[in-house]
Amino acid sequence: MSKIKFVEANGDVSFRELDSSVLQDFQLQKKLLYTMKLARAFEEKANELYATGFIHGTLHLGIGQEAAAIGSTAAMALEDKILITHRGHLEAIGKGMSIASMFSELLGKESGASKGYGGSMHMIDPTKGILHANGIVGANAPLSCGIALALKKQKKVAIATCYLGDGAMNEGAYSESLNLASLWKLPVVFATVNNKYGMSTPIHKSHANTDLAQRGIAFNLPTIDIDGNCVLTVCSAMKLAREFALKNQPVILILNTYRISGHSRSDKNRYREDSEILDWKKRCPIKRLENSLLEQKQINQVDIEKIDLKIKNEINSAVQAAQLSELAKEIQW
Amino acid sequence: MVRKLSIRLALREAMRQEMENDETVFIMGEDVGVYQGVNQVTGNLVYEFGSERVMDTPISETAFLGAAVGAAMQGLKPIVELQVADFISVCLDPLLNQAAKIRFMSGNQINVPMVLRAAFGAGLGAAAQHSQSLEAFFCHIPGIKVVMPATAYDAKGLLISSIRDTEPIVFLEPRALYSDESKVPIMPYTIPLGKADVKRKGKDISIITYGSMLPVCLELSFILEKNYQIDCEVVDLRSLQPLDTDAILNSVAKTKRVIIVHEAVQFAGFGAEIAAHISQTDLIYELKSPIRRVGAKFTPIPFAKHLEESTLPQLKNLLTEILAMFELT
Ligand SMILES: Cc1ncc(C[n+]2csc(CCOP(=O)(O)OP(=O)(O)O)c2C)c(N)n1
Ligand SMILES: [Mg+2]
Repeated sequence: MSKIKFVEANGDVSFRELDSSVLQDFQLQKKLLYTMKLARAFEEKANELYATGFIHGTLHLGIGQEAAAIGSTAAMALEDKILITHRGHLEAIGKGMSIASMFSELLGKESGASKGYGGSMHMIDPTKGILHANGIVGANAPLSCGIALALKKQKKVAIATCYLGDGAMNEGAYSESLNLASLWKLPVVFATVNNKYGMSTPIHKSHANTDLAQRGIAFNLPTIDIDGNCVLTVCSAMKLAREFALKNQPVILILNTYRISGHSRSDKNRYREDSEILDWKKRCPIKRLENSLLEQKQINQVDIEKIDLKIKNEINSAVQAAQLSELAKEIQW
Repeated sequence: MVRKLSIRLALREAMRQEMENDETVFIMGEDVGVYQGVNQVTGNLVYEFGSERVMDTPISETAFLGAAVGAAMQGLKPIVELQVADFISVCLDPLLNQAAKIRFMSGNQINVPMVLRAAFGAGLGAAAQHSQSLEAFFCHIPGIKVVMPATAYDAKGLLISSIRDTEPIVFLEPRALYSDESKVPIMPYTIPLGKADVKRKGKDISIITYGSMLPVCLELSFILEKNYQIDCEVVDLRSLQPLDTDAILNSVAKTKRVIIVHEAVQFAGFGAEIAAHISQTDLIYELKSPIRRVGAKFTPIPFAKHLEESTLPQLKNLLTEILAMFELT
């Protein structure tokens, strides 16, 4: 298990142990396993529905990034707010959004989360604290400052977490927001899902400084930089980040992972070697937790089969419900 | 009680009264605090409400306009001041792709009750990047309302309505008219958005206008009556989105002549939208003269006073246009 790399606002680096409550809580770990598997199955099913012509538009899948999404959302309270990206299915599921309403949304049904007006990129559910799912790269950052500002003014014990990608770090909105959050001491975490690419462009071709953990130093912000494929590390790190944010100390959290799926349906994989993808498939975050639980004899093969079957049924009944429900109506506008 | 107030003070009074009335209302923007606002609109509010509710921001329009959108999503009612509307260029995303879309793409789950106040317009020698009239551009974005008062009375009532509204609002303040005074009641009052106001009743021609050209149009109608016995009706739209098409059509149905006047460049200006509304009805067959519209020349705003003046719609040009409509030239 990897440690948590902590970069102080002044650049000093230290390493912290994982949260013992996460390491010892096997109930939590089994739940993490279940949710990661559910999220993976959701995306695989969505992909299948797309390929067979049931879903209109495009899909941005996060296959391979489950630990970053599920580990971080698991460390939040229901009252915490998140803003997710164009690749937001996983975080939405992690924050508790119903997969039935998500499938309905993808199929353009009235029972969809946004009644068919959002779609794959805009899975929004304020009842779960999912306030925005943004198709504009980097645009979550300023909004999350405002949500955090409101939470602070309202004296709520809650934080805002702004999800964004490695590519989004090069948007002006991101830098402006780091400055504002730091200046105004806002309860916000900038959860940066570093999946190594922004579409086809790798970090070394887009970032003048490829050490993403140094960006915060310029804004007097601490950064937590971790193995985003280890869900227990992610969960521990997000807990730490949340504690800081609750004390009005904004934090950058860098979740280093890899996108196994293509960028979107248009991706022909012209920018990376198959061997690289294969290598990361071996580092699958779901298998990693599963193996760890097997080794520690917290689950056995029969349990795994039961989980997989339960998920299959859950997915199938959600899809069925979505398919049976009526088409979305014209919105009151 | 009613007394005379400038547009500037009427706006300040509206904000003060709404901030007293609703603790979720707050102001943010560049130099809105001790500097008292670049246009002196926020004035002493920072001393009355403190810097937590009259928040100075860094020169980071994307961050603070975006933060206002976020705060509105989370239940507050921000009033954001953009020093001049021209600066929307550096922070368009929070307005165009965020505020305007969030209620829609969340399937009506989340509102964005925010007011973006911005001064607009030329006449002050501020040159090409601090003088534009961009209302048509804002009106082309479904999901926001566009409000443009031209008098102190309207400024107060429309700003209070805008703050109380649940939608994102672009509130454009005619920069050249900040010191213009009119009678304003001391008590809070609202003016419904989407209701035009006939500023002068008349029977011979409808002058449809809004914002900074209202005083010019009123002066023009005075001259036309005095020197040519032409009785003008001046319709002040006050808000462009929603648009009071009934008021436009009712006036034109009565006068059978119409000219549309705005400070923004004429080409692809909001006047084209108004002209289209009229020409899509049977009124088009009753008109005694083709619809005319007058806006600025299609150039950026120049600096030198005489050049700036010749770019904008001038009283003498308007007079010529209208006399031509009565075949008096
Ligand atoms: C402002 C903006 N520019 C470009 C795009 C097109 N686009 C969509 S996703 C994407 C890549 C984003 O990369 P990253 O932030 O790393 O997120 P990832 O897709 O890897 O999850 C691009 C360029 C966009 N949606 N918004
Ligand atoms: Mg990326």
